[in-house]
Amino acid sequence: MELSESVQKGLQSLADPMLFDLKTFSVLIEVAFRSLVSAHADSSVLDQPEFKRIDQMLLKHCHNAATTCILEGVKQNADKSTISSCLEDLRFDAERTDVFYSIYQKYRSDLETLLSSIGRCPPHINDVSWRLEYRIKNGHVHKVNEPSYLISLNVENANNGGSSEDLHFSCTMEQLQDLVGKMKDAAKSLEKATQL
Amino acid sequence: MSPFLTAFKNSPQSEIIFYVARKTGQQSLPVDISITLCLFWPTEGAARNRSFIHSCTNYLFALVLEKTPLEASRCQVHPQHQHKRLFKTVVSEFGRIAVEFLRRGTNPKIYEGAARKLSADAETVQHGVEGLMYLLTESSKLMISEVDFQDSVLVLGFTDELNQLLLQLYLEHRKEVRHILSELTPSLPHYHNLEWRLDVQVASRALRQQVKPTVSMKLHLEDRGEKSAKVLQTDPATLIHLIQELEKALAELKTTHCRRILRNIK
Repeated sequence: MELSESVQKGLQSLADPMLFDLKTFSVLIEVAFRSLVSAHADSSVLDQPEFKRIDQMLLKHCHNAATTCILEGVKQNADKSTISSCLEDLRFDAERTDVFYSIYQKYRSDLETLLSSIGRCPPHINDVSWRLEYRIKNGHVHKVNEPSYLISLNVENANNGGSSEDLHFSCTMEQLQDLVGKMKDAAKSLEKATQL
Repeated sequence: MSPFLTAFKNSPQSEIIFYVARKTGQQSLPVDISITLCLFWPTEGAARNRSFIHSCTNYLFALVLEKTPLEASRCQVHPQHQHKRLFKTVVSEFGRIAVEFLRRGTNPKIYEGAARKLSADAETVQHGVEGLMYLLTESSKLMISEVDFQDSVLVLGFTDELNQLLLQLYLEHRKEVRHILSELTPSLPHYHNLEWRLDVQVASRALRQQVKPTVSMKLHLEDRGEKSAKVLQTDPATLIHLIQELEKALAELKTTHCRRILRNIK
């Protein structure tokens, strides 16, 4: 895991028993993980009673370093040996490494889900609604007498802050059968791929 | 004078002459100003479906018989025998022009060409062709039966041959005219094609070593000849949900309720 110098310095401070005793260290690591997973940014995250004695600048620096290290670890899908060797290089003793790794295991899958949802993708279909109508006549042609479908796809645009819009189109029965047929082909090939 | 003639005479369009072609053997009524023919469509609440046609009829008679419209109205409605064939050709030619104009739009040069050939003025020819166009669009729009069409055209007092000609013109072209008219109706983009692709996302900037299956789709839509394509994405679970919903939609068409409605509204 490649970490920048400032992150390394922050982590080294965390490893120092003179600055952070074990209990304070554990609380800070727990707080760091929780702040990543929670949905809202909480400005009072560092207002724990255990942190009253510690210099606020140092606290912020260490919290920053811890969160960066955590995200790097999850991003690279780091295993125990990678994390252990990285932390040991930064002068973490075995106890603190264990504490870090156990909390890491606890929050790992949530963080992975979070990171996998970040990214650009084409508009994502969430839902479909349909309407069947029977066209009798209109202003230009009488005696039309044809059934027709109106389909609305609810599409979410991940790029513009999750705004969703509706895509409307009409189709005849044959066209809808064609559409469903093609979707079924896609589903079938998905099934085949999962069985490989 | 027949009752509906009286009604039209009192209409505010004072520059309109009313001419009624009667059947053979009777003299027509010479009246005042221009030429309008009233057609009654016997279907669908007859009283409401009166169409006024600015008709070429009398002008055609005048052209063929070389008389003024007013004089033509005083003759018996039978054109002279030696002009019968010429009359038929003229009408079928005008019919062909009318259909062509409905397909591709009007072309004023054709009026001038035809006018020169028939030694009449272009406005006359224009009225004639426009009358035929209107006859075709109205009858195709309402999709009237052969019998109704013949009854309607009978009011004009043409010969049987001419009636047959107009009927043939209508029957041959009505589907096409309806198709052209349907392009005027408001419409939404409709489905054209769907392309799909199965992808697995293996890594991104935010997270390496992923396995995330997605289905990418390109939905082709068409709106009056304008094609557009939208690239969309969905995940496997949503795809299955979409398929289930749309199959429900298709099944709906086969229910008794739907069938009853489709059967009874014809």
